[in-house]
This record gives sequence, C-alpha cells and structure tokens, in this order.
Amino acid sequence: MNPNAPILEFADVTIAAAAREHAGLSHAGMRLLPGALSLVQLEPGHEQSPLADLAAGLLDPEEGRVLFQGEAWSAMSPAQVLQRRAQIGRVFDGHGWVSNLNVNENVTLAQRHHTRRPDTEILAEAEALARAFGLDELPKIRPALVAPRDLRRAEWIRGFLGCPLLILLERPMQDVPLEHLPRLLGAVQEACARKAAVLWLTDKDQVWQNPNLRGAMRCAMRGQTLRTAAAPVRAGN
Amino acid sequence: MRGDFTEHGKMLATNMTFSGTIGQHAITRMRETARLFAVLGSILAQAARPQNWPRTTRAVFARQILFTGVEALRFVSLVAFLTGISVVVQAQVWLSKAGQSEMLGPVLVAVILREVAPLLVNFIVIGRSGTAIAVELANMKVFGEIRVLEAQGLDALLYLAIPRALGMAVSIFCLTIWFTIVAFVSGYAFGVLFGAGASDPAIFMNTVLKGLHPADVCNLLAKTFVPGLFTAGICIMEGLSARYSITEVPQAATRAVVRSIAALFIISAIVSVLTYI
Repeated sequence: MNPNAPILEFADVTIAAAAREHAGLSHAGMRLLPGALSLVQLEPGHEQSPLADLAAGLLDPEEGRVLFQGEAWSAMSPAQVLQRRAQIGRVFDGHGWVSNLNVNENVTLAQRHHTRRPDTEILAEAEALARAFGLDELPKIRPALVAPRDLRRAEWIRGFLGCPLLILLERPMQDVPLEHLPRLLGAVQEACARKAAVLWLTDKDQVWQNPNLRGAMRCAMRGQTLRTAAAPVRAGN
Repeated sequence: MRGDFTEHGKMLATNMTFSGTIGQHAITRMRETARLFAVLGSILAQAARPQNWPRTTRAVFARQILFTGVEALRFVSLVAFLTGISVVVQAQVWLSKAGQSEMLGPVLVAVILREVAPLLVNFIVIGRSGTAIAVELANMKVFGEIRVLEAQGLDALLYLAIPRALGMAVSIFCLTIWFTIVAFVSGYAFGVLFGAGASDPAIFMNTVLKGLHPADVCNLLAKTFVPGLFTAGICIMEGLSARYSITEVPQAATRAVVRSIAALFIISAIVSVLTYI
C-alpha cells in the first residue's frame, strides 16, 4: 500500500439526517492523509454528526463512498471490516461504554481482542496514557460509577491505545474542563507525528480557535454541507 | 337479496381475515424458527474455529459458566435435594410394596435422569440466566453498546453470542449431572431414615447403575446441550431484537422465557420419543 495514500476519504458522500437533532450530509468530500488532523466544526443544534460512523463503516452512505486505506467499506468482507475497525481509535459522542465491564476492561477490550500483546503490556500503556491525560490511574470500576470528566478522559485513553491508524474524536472535550485540552492536543500531535490521521469533531469555540490547532485542515458543517473553513484570525495577528 | 350478498361478503371477509391472521402468524413463527436455526448454525460453525476464541471471548465464556453453572449450584442442589426426597423415597416405598424392588433402578433412571433432572435444571437456567441474557443484550442494544463493540471491530456473534450459548449448554449439562447425584443421595438417605429402602448404599447404587443404558447418555446430552443452545439462541435473539426504547427490555425478556420454555418442552418430548423408539 502506498504510504502517502489517504487513510480516510469521503467521496461525494450523501446521507440523510437520522433525527432532527442529527446532521445529514450532502455530497461531502474530504481526504485525510497520514499525519493529517482535520477539525470539523459542528453546527449548534445539530451536534450529532454521522461523520464518525461513516468513517468507521458503521453507516452506509446513500450516495458516494467512504474509503479507508483506499478501500470502500461497502466493498470489504465482514471479516475485513472488523480487522480494519481494529485500527481505528474513537471517542464516542454520548454513551461509549459496555456497562457490564469495568472501565479498565472497556479501555483494553479492543487491544485484548485483536492483538496478542500481553495483558501487562496493554495495561502499562493504558496507565501511561491515563497519567498523560491527568488521571491518577485507570478506573477499575463500572463506567456508571465514574465521574463524567474522568470517564471522558478514559475514553481518550481508549482512543489512543495501541497506536491506531485513524483516531475519531467526537466532541472529546464534552464534560472535560478546558485545563485538560493541552493534554489532548499533545496526544493528537504525537499521533500525527507517527503518521496517524485524526478527525476531530467539535462544537467548542475554545477548540476551534485554539492556536495550537492552526495547522489543522478545517471544515465546518452548515446544514447538510461540509464546507472548507479558514482558521480563525486572532486579533493582533 | 342484495342484503344477503352483503352479509355473505362480510362473513367471507371475516373468515378470510381470520384465516389470514392465522396464516400470517404461522409464517412469522416459521421465519423466526428458521432464523433461530440459522443463528444456532452460525454459532456452532464459528465456535468450531479456534481463531474465533481470542482471550476476550474465552473470558466471557468462563464468566457465563460462573454465572449460569457455578452460581446456580446452591439453588439446583436445594431443588435436587427436595426432588430426591419426594421422588426417590416414593419410588422406593411403592415399588417395595408392589414387590418390584428390582425395578427401582430403571424407574429412577427413567424419572430422574431422563426427565426430571434435565427439565428442572433447564427451567432453573431459563429463569436465572435466560432472562439475564435477554435483559443484558436488550439493554446493550437500546443504549448503543452493540454499536460501541462493532466500532471497535468486535463481532457481536463472536463476542456476545458464542460464549453465552456454549457456556449455557455446558452449564446445563454439568448441573443436570449434579442434580441427579444430589437427588439420588438425598432420596437414598431419606429412604434409609424412614425405613423405606435398602440400607446398604452399595445395593442402592448397584440398582441404579443397572438401570443405566448407553441410550441414557445420549438422552442426557440431547436434553441438556440442545435445549441449552436453543435457550441461549432464543434469549440472544430476543435481547438483540430490542431497538429504541427501554420499555422493549421487559417485553424481550418475557418473550425469551415463554419461547425458551416452549422450545424446551418440544425438544424434551422429541428426545423422549426417540429414546424409546
């Protein structure tokens, strides 16, 4: 495979909105090359976006194609789909946990399922990420018993665990104090440096206008249209 | 005359609607049964492949045996103990009164091992674990947790269905053997206590063992593994049939229990008939 080929590509993708608070997509196009960060600003009132589900092959577009590593999700066999999804890290918008597993089990589940890495090695990486994200340790209790801001950061750990090829961040700062944003930015920059692609969906101005994200490719959802957007100009710059 | 035609037409329409409803119901049932067989076929075919047993699936399998088998031991033991008292003691008393003590073994094997133990254990497992599986999976579906698993590349069939189905089948088999042992021991003990049977345990054991035939092993396997798989398959399907609302969860659980019990009786009757043919 060509190492410079796009990791993720939306080719003229159209999908209807699932519900009123959800956003639809009309003839959207986007390419994420290795090492690229794409920041998508969500429209107020339509924060639920199908972009991440489309990117992970969980939704089939009504028109167009979504390609992961150059291959359309719709053209892959079920086994291939599962293998490819194992290379995607994700922070979910809303409930992203299996309730009957502890947070540490949830976080390490995909790595334990898809790889033969020893449990101790996976846990050590998860604990290191937990410290990097400002958690004392990886919570070992059910997700329902963890404070939302810690739970969200535990999702960050899962999203970055095992060096995934594509990282989908759906409003990752939801419930998290802004003081932790630099920690997430650091992890995103590290991921991009090792040639992973990052798709970051946000509805927060503090993220959209963050100077550390000025190099990101920017798009904004307006109605059903995904438009290319310019980086916000800071006063005095 | 015209009124007669109208009445006749109405009756015909009513009859058509009635038979149509029955037909529709039958077609739905047949489709559900076909789907159940397809799911069970997939479970067995996929379970036979070693690569489908990563450590996560093995952990769910072990957990299922713990919940369905190990944690049910106390209750199954209690039911077996009481069943032993009522069935074994009565058999001992009535057979000795009829001068047919040598029939004790075959009668106990036929009643306890072939019928009562598998049936009661299956009932207990449906009540304890079948409902739990249906509720758990329905909740997972309603709260989008299946989607969370799929987004991480985990197949719901491999991760959720296979270990639950096989864990349940293995647990029912083991619990049935345990049930039989406890029932015989308690029956013998109470028989001796009330002077209703042979006091020598070796004689009692010998009588029971004499009543055992190779067909009983097949019967036991068929009445434990098969209903266990069907119960798990039904509960998994009903659980995953929930879609949008939390109110679907108890409905799924109720349907799962009713259909599992129906399947249990059908399988049990078929196996019993086949055993005696």
